[in-house]
Amino acid sequence: MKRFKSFLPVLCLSVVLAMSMSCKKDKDDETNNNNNNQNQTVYNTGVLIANEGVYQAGNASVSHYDPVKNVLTNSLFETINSRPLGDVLQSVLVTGGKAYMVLNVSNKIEIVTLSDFKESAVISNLNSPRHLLPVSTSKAYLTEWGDNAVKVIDLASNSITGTINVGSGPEKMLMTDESVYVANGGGWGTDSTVSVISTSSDQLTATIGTGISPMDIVKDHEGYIWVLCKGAVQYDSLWNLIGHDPSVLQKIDPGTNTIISTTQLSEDQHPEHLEISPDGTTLYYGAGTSGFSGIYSISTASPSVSTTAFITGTYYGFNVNPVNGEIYALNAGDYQTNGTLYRYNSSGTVINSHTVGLIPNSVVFID
Amino acid sequence: MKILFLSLWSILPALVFPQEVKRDTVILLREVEVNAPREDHFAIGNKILKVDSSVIREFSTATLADLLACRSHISVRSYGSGGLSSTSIRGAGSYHTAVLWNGFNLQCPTDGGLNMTLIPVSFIDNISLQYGGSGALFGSGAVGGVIHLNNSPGFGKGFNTTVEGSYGSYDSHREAVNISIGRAKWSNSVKYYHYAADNDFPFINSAQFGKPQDTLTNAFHEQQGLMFENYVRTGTLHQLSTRFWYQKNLKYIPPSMVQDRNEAYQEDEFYRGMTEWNRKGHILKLYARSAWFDYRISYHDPILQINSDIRAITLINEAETEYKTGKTHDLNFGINNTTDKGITDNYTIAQYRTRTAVFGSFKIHNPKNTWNSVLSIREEWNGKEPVKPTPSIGFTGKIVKPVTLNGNVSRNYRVPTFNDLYWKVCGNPDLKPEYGWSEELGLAVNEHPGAFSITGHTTAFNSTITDWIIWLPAGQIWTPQNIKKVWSRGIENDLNIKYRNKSLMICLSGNYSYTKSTDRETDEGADATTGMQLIYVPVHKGNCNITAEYKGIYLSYTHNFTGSRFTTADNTRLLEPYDTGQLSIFKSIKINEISVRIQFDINNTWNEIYQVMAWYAMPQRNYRLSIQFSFNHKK
Repeated sequence: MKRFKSFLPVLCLSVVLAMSMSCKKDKDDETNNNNNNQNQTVYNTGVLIANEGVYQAGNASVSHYDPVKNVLTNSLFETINSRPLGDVLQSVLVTGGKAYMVLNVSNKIEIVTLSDFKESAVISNLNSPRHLLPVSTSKAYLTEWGDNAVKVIDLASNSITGTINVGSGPEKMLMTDESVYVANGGGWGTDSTVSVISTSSDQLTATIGTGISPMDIVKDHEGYIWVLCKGAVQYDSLWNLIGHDPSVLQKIDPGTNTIISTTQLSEDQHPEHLEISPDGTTLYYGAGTSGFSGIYSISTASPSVSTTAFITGTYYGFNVNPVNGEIYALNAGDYQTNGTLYRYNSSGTVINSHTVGLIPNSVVFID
Repeated sequence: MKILFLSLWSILPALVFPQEVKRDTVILLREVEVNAPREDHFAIGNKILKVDSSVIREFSTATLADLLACRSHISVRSYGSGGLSSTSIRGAGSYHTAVLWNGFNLQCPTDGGLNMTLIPVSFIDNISLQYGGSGALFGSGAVGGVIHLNNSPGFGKGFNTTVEGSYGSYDSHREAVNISIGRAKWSNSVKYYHYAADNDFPFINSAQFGKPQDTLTNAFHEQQGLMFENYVRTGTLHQLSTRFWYQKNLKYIPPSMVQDRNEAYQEDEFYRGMTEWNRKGHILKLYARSAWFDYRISYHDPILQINSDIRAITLINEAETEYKTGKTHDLNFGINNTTDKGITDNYTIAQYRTRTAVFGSFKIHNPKNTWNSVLSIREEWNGKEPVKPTPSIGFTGKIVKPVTLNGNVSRNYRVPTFNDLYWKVCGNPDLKPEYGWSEELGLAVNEHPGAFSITGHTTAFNSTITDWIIWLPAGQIWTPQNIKKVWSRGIENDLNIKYRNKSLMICLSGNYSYTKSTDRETDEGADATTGMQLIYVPVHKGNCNITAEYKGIYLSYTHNFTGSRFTTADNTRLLEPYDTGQLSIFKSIKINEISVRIQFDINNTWNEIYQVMAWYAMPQRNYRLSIQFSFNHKK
């Protein structure tokens, strides 16, 4: 009994002590412990990086990069507003002193004031929203896969004021003069059209037939429009690979809304992103969800496919700085842990790299 | 993207006081018949805690997930109220807990999991929680631990019937009927229950702009279960048992706080049948048993246009013997054949797998039976491929009068699931089993000074798991690979102090566990996850309970604490710790042969706002009232 009596308080004590110690310790380190630079308080210059996060895990995030000070801040929205951004951040738009973050799975757009990144409003009840394009200071267009439409958004009241039906899986848009060209990438399936909308009437004015799955669209220095069609992989009913639809680059004359040239990029590889140099003479394509290797450059004057990549590496997305031509490329790694941002100069030489959030897909240049 | 989604979804898919409580009320305390020789005689050295019958009673209107989450060391991962619940023992994965129903592993061969929300506590007579791996005795899946669920015959108990109704918050209600007849030589019982709940509880959506008050949508849940048991004593030494269990489930899946909406739902239908014949002589015991399981799972998502049907059929045949080779030693050996079939459009064709295993244990003890030691080994052939042999050695022994020392070392394994092997395009048919070594050393105290009863355990454990299967991107698709290595270690403590006299019983108990379960460097080298705690494994977890019984009124309060848990593999995000309270009060009245029991439960007593899985809302304070009528007639 004596021996037992000394054993009993030890057990009790260990249980109680451990529980109280752990309580304290855990409540202290509550917040994220990632590489945050809390000294920076102004976000209206530099670069914003959209990190999709893992599907249905609700861990989308936005990062900020200051290219002058070479400082990167992760999980910006969550740190400042003490709540998660949402599920799958598809794109970010900066306009009118605000940042608009389009959350594809949460079906909402979170709006913050750019200078302090504090939440200011939300637009809800969307239907798989993808990208936003401002068409005036008070109006923006939003592509949505859920209803294969472009929604008209009033930026003053943050409300939806109209719907324009386009092709399936509308993705990126380009504005030129008074028209917006919408690339209908097909969404989960395929499509091969570009829809043309008049910004004064918010009506569909033309539909242009293109290659398979037009994904991205840019304008060159002469005003011509270039569309990147990613092609497709074909499977039979038992999921065996049968073949590919090739990826192509097409040139559109906006005066006639017709295709004036088609260049095959690859028989069996499917790049999804298209960018252009600041002087509008060199196009860049590559990256996407199919593991496309490299970023290639191609001239608008005589578009012929190069056998060697301008920048090597497998990227999920990339963007070209419209002021200095630097290329920011995003690598998603193993899609479960943080990705990497690579900064290249306009000649394709790497400058530096930084760890960003989960599945980074694009950057936005604020100024 | 669709393939990716489909494959990810199908993967995802996460008490106990070893003493008796005698009561004055009529309870169908079934005689514990020894029908599980390995569990009862040869599982030496692992910590095994039997769930007290009073706890089983307290949770008779609830599910196994509720009981384990409230009263055990086991970490239960639950996607909200009534949602999918899986268990993690000692920092291992959700598929590393073998759940044995009368000796047969219930884990589904297609995804390796078992939803604990679909096991009603009222269908099980005895629950034992075995911590630590036990591959040698119980085969594939027994890596983190084993949950033993047993049904026992009620020979000689007479005629008993119970009718129960309960109603609770969020429009939840449950009706159940049990009828059993137990004569000297045969015993039959039928059990049925039906449960439905709207689950439309209010919660603060702290993930949205303005933190609005929301109501959970698309959360309806309905379950029905039917169980038949038949036991016959065919001779003085022989017994034949037959059991059949049907379970039907419908669960609408609510959106998490970061999702906008969800219309998905899942329907499950499980058919489980088993039969066992045993002959229990003094020197030689023989057991022959067969089981057949047919699981039909149907998942629908109207928004994403996904309709996925999976059917898994398992046939198990097993024979074993227990032979008393001498006064101080026993031998157990047996053979098991398990055949699984998986049928779904998600595989290119229906898949089969047959596994045959031979196992044996040798137990030796000293003449006073104060020291016991068991050496076991199991060898399984997966088709024609042999799995690595899995031995184990364990011992238990009294060192000083109230203190016992126990220890165990065992090698464990888990065969890959059909989804990992055969999923369209992404499956990897070359996957090997996962392997692990687990060790534990513990002290147990058992003392009964006067009117007190004191029991306690402290156990240190250590285990490594290698070739853990995870899905990784490989080019355009994700495929499963045997890559991950995990090292788990920690300490578990529990203590139970009970006082009873003629009119009053008070019991105070608590348990606490410290678990570090970290990713180890793989063959590919160190990365951001190396050395990091696995997601959703809390380092600190504990609960304490006070139970009092006085003049037929029973009161039980449990306080549960769960420490912070990381939600990303590189430990950059975590979920806050939380603690919740649970209160149960009931009163029994006996009138002649009829007994009436009224129970009132207050769950989440302190209205804690917490999350078990990130951004899945948990209900705030909620109530349940149940009434049970029992009739017992012994001839």
